[in-house]
Amino acid sequence: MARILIVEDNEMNRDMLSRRLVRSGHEVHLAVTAGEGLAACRALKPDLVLMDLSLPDADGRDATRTLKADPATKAIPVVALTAHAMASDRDAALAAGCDAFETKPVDFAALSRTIDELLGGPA
Amino acid sequence: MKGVVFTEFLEMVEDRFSLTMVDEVIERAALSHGGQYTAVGTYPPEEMLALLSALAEISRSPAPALLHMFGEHLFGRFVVGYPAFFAGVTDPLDFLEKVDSYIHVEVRKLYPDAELPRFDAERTSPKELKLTYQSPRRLSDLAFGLIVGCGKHFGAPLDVSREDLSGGSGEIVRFTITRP
Amino acid sequence: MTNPEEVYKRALERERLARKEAERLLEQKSRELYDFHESQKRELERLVDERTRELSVARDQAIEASRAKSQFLAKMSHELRTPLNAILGYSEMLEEDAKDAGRARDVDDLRKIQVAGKHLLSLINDVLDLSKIEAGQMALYLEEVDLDALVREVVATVRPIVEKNRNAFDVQLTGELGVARTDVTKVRQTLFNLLSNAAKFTEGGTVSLQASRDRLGLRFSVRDTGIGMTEEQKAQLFQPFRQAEPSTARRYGGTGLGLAISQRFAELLGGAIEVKTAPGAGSTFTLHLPLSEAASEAPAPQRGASGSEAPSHRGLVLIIDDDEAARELLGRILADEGYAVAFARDGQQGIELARSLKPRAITLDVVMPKVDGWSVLSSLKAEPEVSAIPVIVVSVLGERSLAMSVGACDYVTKPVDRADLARVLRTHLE
Repeated sequence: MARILIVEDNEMNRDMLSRRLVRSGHEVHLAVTAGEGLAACRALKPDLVLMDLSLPDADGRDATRTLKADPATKAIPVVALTAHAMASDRDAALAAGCDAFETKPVDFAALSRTIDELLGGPA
Repeated sequence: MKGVVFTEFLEMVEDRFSLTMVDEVIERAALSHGGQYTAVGTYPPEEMLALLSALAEISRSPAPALLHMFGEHLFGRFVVGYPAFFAGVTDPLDFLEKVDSYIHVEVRKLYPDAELPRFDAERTSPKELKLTYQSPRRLSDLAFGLIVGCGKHFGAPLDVSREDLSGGSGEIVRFTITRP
Repeated sequence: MTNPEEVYKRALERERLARKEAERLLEQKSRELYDFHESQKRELERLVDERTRELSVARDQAIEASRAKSQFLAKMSHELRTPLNAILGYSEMLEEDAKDAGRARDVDDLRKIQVAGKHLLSLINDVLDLSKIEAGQMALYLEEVDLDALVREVVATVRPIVEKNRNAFDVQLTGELGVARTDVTKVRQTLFNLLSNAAKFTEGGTVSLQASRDRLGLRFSVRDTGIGMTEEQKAQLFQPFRQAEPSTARRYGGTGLGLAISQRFAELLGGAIEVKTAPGAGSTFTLHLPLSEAASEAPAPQRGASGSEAPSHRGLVLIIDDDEAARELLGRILADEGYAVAFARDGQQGIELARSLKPRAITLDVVMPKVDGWSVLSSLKAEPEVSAIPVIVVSVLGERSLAMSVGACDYVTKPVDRADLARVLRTHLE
């Protein structure tokens, strides 16, 4: 199973997502702000990042750009999570370097498929 | 007073009398300037009275008769100079009736400073018009001449009687005009 | 005293002085006129400046209001979705727990929370869609769409819903639909709405989908053998939040917004939804979509010996008219003449469709509320992308010379004479 970093400031969403991912057999790490998320990425080198796009200290897209610009972290796939559901939000996330985009409320089955695809199929 | 009245007056003097008469009238009137008038200028009305009495003295004619003559002459000049006012009009009473309500209104648009006499019109019948002249200039003889000139222009000799409503001052005069 | 020579001399001198005075007066009058004219001009310029400033302030305010509205919509969407994320996520987790522990009743209750949560989510989505449409902020994303794949996908998604009510699902595709330039999300959502509606209101019957492509464009017919509708119910069909009966929502669910949104989507794409129904006799909803010239590619014609040869496709004509009967009549004439047609029911929509569809020609009504035909014409002629499209003004007003002078290519009076219109179109398109 994979090591997944969740960067999300909403406590309930963070808790709910992490418990469901743990149930699915993943090792989950948490970060609340973009700054923490970037630090955790560099320290832990997770297999995948779930990035909320509306974080208190920075825009999740900027955090993703930073990750993708750093050779040490650029290979880590990033899945954008947002409650902004407009088509333009998706385009902006992908343009910032996110590898996939899921809207909230999260369809967990769809998210699991996306994670599996980005990690090269179910382990 | 509009310059056109002066130039027309002097032209009438030249027509009916002579150029020498024009010269004498101007000399005798003892004007403050050389007696040059232009139709587009404006001059003191006293100069007209001075010219008129000079003409009366030299020609030994009564001033009212001269004014009447001038009125007839002036109407003929209006016909030539302002044909627009005559378009479509065939009845002299119709024309006289709208002097105040139409012609003087138009004149004021062009010459806001013009001091015009008032003509209150009352059409008592298709063949009769009561026209009340009102002006501190007391030139009802001129108005009389204009009315007669109007009748002549339309080829309809008018029967005109007048009545002074201002106790003989000549400031308010009612003309009763009938046509055949 | 009366030496004639001196008399003439003095007369001449008076004339000379009079002339000079006249000239002086003329000069003075000219100067006054000039000054007056200048001051009028300055006053006029001041007024124009003032009005321009007022207008630009009003415009800025309108833009700001519209921006504020769209920001509000985006924020509301975000704010409503975030708590739903927790509600749906936790209830799914609890359901898994309950299942593992064998607590069937809890599983059942937790499912109800999820169904209600998903219903709330679809309501939020629909209300936002409708608000965006009403605010004129629903954008079209046109791309090359594989229509056959789209239909297969919609059929697969909707099949479980249809079969849930013990309905048969009959899908008839007449030939291949090919590729078209359209907004795939809106076509998908519209088809899904029509099919799931049919499924919802039919039990133990048949829901059928027919899809075809011809010279008029695309046609998707969804027929059901369900409860049908009365004329009054049909009349309210496309009104937001209207279902046939108040009890309908409780019994059949749904937001009551699906059809309203579907119809608005169809209109945004220049098409329409047509309904045939009677109580007890089921309903047929037909979605017509015009095909734009530029990037539409019909599959190679594979007509068998049977079936009459359809007239060749002569190109798409956009009909801009606020009167429904007039749109229908013009549409029929043009279809008979072999043109594909798209409809716009007002000036603003007409301008937008002209941009997105790039029709071969446009017929334009003059008297329309809000944006009238003359404004549409001047907007079209001001945009290089669409200015070359021939515009035929169709009006009851006899304003041929005005129409031609503002850029129309021709003029046809209402009531429209079929032969006249056909001739005009041929003249400008061939």
